[in-house]
Amino acid sequence: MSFGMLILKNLWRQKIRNLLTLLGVSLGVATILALGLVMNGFEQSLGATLRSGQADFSIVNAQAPAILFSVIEESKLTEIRDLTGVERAVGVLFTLARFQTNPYFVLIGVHPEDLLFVGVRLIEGRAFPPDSEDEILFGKTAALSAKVRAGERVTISGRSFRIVGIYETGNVWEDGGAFLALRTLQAWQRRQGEVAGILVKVTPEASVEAVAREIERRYPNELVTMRSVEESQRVVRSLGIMRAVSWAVSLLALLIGGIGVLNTMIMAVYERTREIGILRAVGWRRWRILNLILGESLAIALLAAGVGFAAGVLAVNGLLLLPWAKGLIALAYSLPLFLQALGIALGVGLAGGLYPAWRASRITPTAALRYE
Amino acid sequence: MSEPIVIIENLLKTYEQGRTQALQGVSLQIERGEFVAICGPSGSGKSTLLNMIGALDHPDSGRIWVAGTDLSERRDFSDFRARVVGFVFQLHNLIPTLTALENVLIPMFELGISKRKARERALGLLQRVGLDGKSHRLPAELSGGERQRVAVARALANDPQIALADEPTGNLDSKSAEQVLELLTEINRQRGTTLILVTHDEAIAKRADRIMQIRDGQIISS
Repeated sequence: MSFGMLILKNLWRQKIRNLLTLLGVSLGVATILALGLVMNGFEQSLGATLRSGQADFSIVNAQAPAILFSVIEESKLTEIRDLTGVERAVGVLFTLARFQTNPYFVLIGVHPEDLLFVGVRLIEGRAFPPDSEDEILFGKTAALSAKVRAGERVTISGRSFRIVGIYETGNVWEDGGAFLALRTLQAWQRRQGEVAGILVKVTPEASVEAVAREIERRYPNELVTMRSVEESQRVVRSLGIMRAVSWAVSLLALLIGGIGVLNTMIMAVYERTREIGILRAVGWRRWRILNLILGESLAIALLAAGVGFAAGVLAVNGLLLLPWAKGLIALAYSLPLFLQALGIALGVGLAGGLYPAWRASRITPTAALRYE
Repeated sequence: MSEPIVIIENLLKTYEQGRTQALQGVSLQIERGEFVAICGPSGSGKSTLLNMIGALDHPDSGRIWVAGTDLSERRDFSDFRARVVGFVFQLHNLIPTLTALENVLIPMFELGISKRKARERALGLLQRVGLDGKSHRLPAELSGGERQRVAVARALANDPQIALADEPTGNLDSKSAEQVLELLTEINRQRGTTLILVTHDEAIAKRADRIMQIRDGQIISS
């Protein structure tokens, strides 16, 4: 019998209680993992969107509460095109529409000559002409989940379109949505003369940083440039809020799990006071008693991490079965995220086990042997 | 008789902030290989004295040396307990979820011996106490006498210089009591293990080389 076997045997003695504690911790781990997978995926998609296709950075309205609500007059687009160092500036309009059962279907309006610039690769069919009023390109994921093909007609928010091609950009939001002519989307949404964002590519000799700064200097409090997810937080305040909420939920879940471990281990130590006294009497050192109890709480945490990983991955993949989620959520699996969740679980095990283990190691053999 | 293995000088121990005087200036010597019975009524301080010799408890004052170790110091004596002494309690005090074999293995964790060697030694000890067929039984599946014999095997797991037995037959029927006593005596005779046995039963005490009578925390004859 090894020390590890002894730890497992001890856990098995109170299997129901330890299983419930384990489930409590695994719920926390699953929450962290699920939120992390979705958040990381969101940030990856956002990063890809900000540098869509060949663009070096994006511009949105500095006052917009979220990118989706950004408004920039098209006259500014012309001004930006004329700035030194700007090789190309492309206006983009986007909105959410209802398509089939999905209320968050992403519609993106661009000029057809800018399609390649924003990263659209046609895998089927052809692009739409600039003045086309009812032609649309469907993203690969959107076409797949709606089971539609090029040539078919579809109705989006009450308006009929003909799918002329299928594309792929590699970005989950874009591939889950559709592209149409900028003029058509502007007219339909009554947003003539407006775009939501501008994608900018600088000339080879110009510095991205310098051009971006120049634009912000020219339009203070009006336009803001974003090259990365970090920079985008100036506008995408919701990202910070989402992060904070996800941390708060995770911490709460872990606090509850941690208290569960603490409670379980304190009970175990009380119930086994006499037994711990015997171990001390036969020569076990304090640190071995400490290790025994800590080992038990860490074993609970480790098993909980395993169960939590499975539950978290299953939960987010279950979420993706919902039609609207497919075009909005991309999961970003990363080793650091799993290691972080594992580390937090072990931290909970350690935090919950430390006090009971210390208490156990202070038990004196004589006091314990008198204990009934 | 060769050299003293236990030397105690003027040992004092009080409990409950001095209200209970468990030991009031006990002095004694026990030779290596001796079988000593400490005899006295309940509350006379005999278990306290045994706990001091086994380093389960600290004296308030006085000096105590056991197998060359000064136990009067205020420090943790786990290592001493792991290597020098073996305990048999009145209640068997086995761990209920561990088999007989595993209970005997428990003290060997501190000895740094290989798993295979520990297992061999434990099986040998169980054979010696006559339980070789029952090594995989839990304490609840054993009779009272068998449990106490497992406890004897556990006390011998570290091959101790001194075996300390506190009323080891107190909870046993006369047949089982006889078996356990014979076992302890045999260990003392064959292995030369010093045996210190606490009892209130004069008949049991008579088997010892020497009887120490203790009353109200003082040795009145030895």
